[in-house]
Amino acid sequence: MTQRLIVLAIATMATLGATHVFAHNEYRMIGTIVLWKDAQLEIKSREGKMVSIAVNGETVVYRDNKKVKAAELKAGRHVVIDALGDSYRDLAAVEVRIIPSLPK
Amino acid sequence: MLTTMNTNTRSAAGVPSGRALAKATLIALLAGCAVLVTAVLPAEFGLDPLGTGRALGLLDIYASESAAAAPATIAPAPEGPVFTQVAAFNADSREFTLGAYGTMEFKYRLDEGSAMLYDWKATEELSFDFHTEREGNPDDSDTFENGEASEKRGAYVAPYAGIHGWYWKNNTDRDVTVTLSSTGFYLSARLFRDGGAGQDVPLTGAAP
Repeated sequence: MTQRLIVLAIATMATLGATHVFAHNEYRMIGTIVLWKDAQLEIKSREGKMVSIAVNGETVVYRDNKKVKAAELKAGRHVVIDALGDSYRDLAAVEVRIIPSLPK
Repeated sequence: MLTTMNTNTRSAAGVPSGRALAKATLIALLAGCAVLVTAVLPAEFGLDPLGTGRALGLLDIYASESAAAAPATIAPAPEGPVFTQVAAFNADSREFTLGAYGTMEFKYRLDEGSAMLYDWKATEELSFDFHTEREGNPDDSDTFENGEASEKRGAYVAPYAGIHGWYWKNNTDRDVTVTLSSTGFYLSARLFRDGGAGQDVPLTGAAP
């Protein structure tokens, strides 16, 4: 009986431990902030593509591997953004890293 | 002075007579027998001549110990430790370089119940996410492990058909090299670079 309970507990933890994601992909973008307004970041990617990304209360902003306030996001700064969404047209930033320069 | 006096007094009065010793021994023997019959025999050997084992629940102790001592029954497949595989046994070994802040995704195609063993190492710590894409519905995904690491190894049995593998993120401004070795019953492999469309890549075969 005890063994059955342990097996059941492990199976439950394993099931709960698996994160189920449906219809959301993670995107990473590297680029330069063009505009930061109304909780939207406009980014010009390294490839020259313009992308708009929502920033919300759950977005974490890093600079030099330390958390900083979203106020640090300013036009002209280079960033690496990890965002979730269905496509490049519908993205919400999860993490924004301010970096000193764009990688080549 | 006091100590000496007490010692003398105890010495004089503390030596029991032979009769008292015999009486004490008899009482101790009877008490021991009582404990043996009422508690030890039921709990240790399952013998309960007076019914005290059942009344005190001591027979349960004997029953649980007996069950624990019995050899475990190993269930036959599919729940047992051995399960046969239909797909061909494959091996794969490869090296990737992630550029500064680059990402990469590499997955194996596995049928439901197919297993693989894997071992990957990176020259620097990476963010990783071991997840799936279900056959026929790539948007349906489960993440089974994620975090920051420079190496991981383990075993995996696919819970359903699809592609199963890793998404790595380089959060540094330096190149990071990942070396992956695996064996298993996978059918093919698929590589996605920097968020691009994936492409099937040939399995390399046995590790060099």
